[in-house]
Amino acid sequence: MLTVDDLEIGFSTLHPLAGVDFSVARGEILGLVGESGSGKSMTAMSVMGLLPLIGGRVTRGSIRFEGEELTTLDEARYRRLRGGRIALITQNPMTSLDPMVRVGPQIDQGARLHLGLDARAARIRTVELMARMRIPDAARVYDLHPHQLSGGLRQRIVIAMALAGDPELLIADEPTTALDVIVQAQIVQLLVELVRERDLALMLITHDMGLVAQACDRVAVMYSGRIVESGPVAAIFEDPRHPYTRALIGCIPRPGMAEGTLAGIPGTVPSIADLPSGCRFHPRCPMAVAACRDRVPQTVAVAADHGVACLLAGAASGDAP
Amino acid sequence: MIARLVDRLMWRGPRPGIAPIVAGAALLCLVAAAFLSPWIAPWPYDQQMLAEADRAPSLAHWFGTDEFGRDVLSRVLFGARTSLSVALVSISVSCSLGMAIGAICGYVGGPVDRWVMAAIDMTWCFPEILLALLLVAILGPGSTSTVLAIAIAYLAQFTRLTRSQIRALKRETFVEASLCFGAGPAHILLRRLLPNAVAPVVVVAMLTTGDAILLEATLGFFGMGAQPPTPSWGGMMSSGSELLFEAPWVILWPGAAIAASVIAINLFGDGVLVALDVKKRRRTH
Repeated sequence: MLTVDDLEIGFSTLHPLAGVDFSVARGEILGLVGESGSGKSMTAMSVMGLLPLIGGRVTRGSIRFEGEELTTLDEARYRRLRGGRIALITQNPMTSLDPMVRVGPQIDQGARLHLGLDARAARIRTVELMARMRIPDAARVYDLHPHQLSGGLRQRIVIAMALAGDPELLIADEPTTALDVIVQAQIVQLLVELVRERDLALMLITHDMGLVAQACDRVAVMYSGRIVESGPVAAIFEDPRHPYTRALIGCIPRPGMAEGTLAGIPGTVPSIADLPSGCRFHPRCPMAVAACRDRVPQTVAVAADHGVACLLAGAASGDAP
Repeated sequence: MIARLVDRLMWRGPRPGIAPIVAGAALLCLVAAAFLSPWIAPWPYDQQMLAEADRAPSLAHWFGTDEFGRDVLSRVLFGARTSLSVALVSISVSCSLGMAIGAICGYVGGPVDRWVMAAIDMTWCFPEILLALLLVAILGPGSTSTVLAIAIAYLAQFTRLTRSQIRALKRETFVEASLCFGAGPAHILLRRLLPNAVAPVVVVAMLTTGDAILLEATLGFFGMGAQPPTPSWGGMMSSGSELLFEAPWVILWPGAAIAASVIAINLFGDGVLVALDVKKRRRTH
């Protein structure tokens, strides 16, 4: 449904994304994982066509949605696509709602814009949608202002806003980071149900490998503007080939772990203004060899639908993290 | 916004205190007096009774009479019409024009923003009074040119305030969210940005109305405002200044009216500032 191919974007001379490939099929949940600063949100902005807003542009590659090329689409047609066929669930439910407007009419917006409903029909639809989001007493909540709602309820409202225009592809940009753990689980559960029920495609952007294991069908691991490994969830967790993927999996706390054994990844994501040569992960990689400094690894298939961009991909197979 | 204001004044949420309410009541009385002046004024504002010129306040003339024997109370009441309406109209013009220009500049940005704002900023080279005097000198004295002069004198502050509000709001997540749901620029500007930017602009508009009354009075004092025989507070003070020692009431009453209305507007504006502060509102559940 959505295919991103060799995407590179530029901000003046900087390239926060350089060669991003992934695809999402209908009915599928793709987890896009990586640390802060690895380019996940940038990827979401590119797909939404909102790069010009923050001063960027696509410099190479393509984004195809249902066969239609998005990188060259004009703004008027893109606007119909946004919310109507592709919708973004924004990161922070605390700031994603207009503080001056009651939440119901904010959800109406999508239906009125994309489905051409009048105010009354939109309201009925919105209340139904809110009830589907398991918002208790939806008809009353419709008339409340955002500041009167809890974080979990606000996130449900944001999801309802995204769904109001009946999109086919949902992009959820860290939908649960601002919420507590119990609410997180409920929201993710809700998203998964919606995808199954409506046969949507979902791109779930997160830095939480645990969440990916729980909710996703496929994973694309992102590091410093590149997809370093991608494949089905089971394959990635059972046989992670990229050292970065392994390190990420090592960061998930497990019950029964001895105290002090939860691993971190030393160092930080490199700044896009000062990128390391060769493989961008080599300064932090525990297995780096001399070649990693000079050669940019190409993505190789290690199994069906499982690609890795690491020079040591073959050799590293099967080692414990 | 109106509903919120009523909500606030009904003592829900942070309390603005008693002063704004008293000030609001005083303002209401002033506006009512201005509106009703043809009916409540004891004398016509232009009736000259030369035999009774320069009389001290008495039962027949509560505020005394001026050098032509005109009733000062009646003239203060009619003057309220001129002064308040000139101030209100000029601030409305200034505020709406400033909001429109500021919103477009703030939203569009780029060279449009740079050039338009440079032009607007030039008006800040002059003190308001100088700019207003200059404009009236060009346009000729009278109520209409006073309105225009005051409107232009305060245009820059409304434009700059709106522009900075819009520029800050533009980066808010809810605006981005709205874009992601397919909203166009008109929707973003009119439905998302402006309603969120309007509260501080309204407060500044109220506080500036006080300044505008002063500016109108100043222009009137220099003989550049409403032309005789139409009474205005500034014009009355100007003619009263010649009789400062013989008939102090002629200058005293319009001066007191100016002071009272400016103080009332400022106190009321402060109350509105407290009442409209969205972020301080508590959750209700």
